[in-house]
Amino acid sequence: MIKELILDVSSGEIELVEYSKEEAEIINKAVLSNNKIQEQ
Amino acid sequence: MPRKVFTNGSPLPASDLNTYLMDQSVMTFADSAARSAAITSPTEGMITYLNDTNKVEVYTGAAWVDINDNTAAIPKSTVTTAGDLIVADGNASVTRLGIGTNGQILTSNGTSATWTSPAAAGGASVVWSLLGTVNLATSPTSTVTFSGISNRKKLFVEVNNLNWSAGGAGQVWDLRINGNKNTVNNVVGLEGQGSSPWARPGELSSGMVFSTLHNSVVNGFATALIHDAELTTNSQVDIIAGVQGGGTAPNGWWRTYSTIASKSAAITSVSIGNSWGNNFTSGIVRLWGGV
Repeated sequence: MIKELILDVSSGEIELVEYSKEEAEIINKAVLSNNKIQEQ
Repeated sequence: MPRKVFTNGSPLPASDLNTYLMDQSVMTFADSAARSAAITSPTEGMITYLNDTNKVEVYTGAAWVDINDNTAAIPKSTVTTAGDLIVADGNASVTRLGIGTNGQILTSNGTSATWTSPAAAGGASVVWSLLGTVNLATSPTSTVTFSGISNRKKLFVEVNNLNWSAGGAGQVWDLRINGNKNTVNNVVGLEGQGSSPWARPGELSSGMVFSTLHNSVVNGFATALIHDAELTTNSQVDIIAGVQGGGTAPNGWWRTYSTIASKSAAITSVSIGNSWGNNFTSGIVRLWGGV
């Protein structure tokens, strides 16, 4: 489960966003596809 | 007028009586006309009292002036409130400058003095304030995002003792700036693993790499200084980051480089995340804002 903690520094409000397994896989693939580090 | 010392037995002619006693006393007249009639040739230093105006006047050698009319003095009524200052608003002219608000500093525009907040004054180079802190031990997440950022000339990201269990080969943890476009290879710096420095720091198109890792992060650390965050043009980003251990030997990674956040809007949010999606299990992340 991917979780993102969002802290609004102007209001101090905290939000916790959770992604489903399917959403997490999509996000991971998107990030990894851009990961030039792997090319080294 | 001179002063004469009389001794015992000294004669006292009328001229001495008029000069040394009458003319040097406070002479009383009904008004200035009566005074002019009585004293046709006043001498500098003479003092009179006028009944009609109730004023004591002194003769300066040129005119009779009110002895209390000291225009060179600054009246106490100029100030009204504790902390007030008296400043000049012209040649031989003063005015009240009320106390500034808490934290303001006295600045000059070359013409006048003004109480100004440091943020707008420019008197100090950069004034930093802590915008937010996240303790990942109490809030394990894979991404920490600071949103709501505005009007910050500089941003400073601190990450201390970050830990992240269970990753995968080729994973990184990185800094993501909203609005940043693809800046891959737009970097200058060094990176290394163990004792072997490499010449090419890596970078994600989605973020700026803090460090590479294979399985887990042990005591990751990072600082990132983001310049010109409030501008709608590119921002330089200076990064020093690494991990103490984790993954395949020789484990430790470090990276120091400068790069460009290619953007066309002011920065409103920054994130620290990992590309694998597992939660950071401990560590402190802070964001400082400079104005």
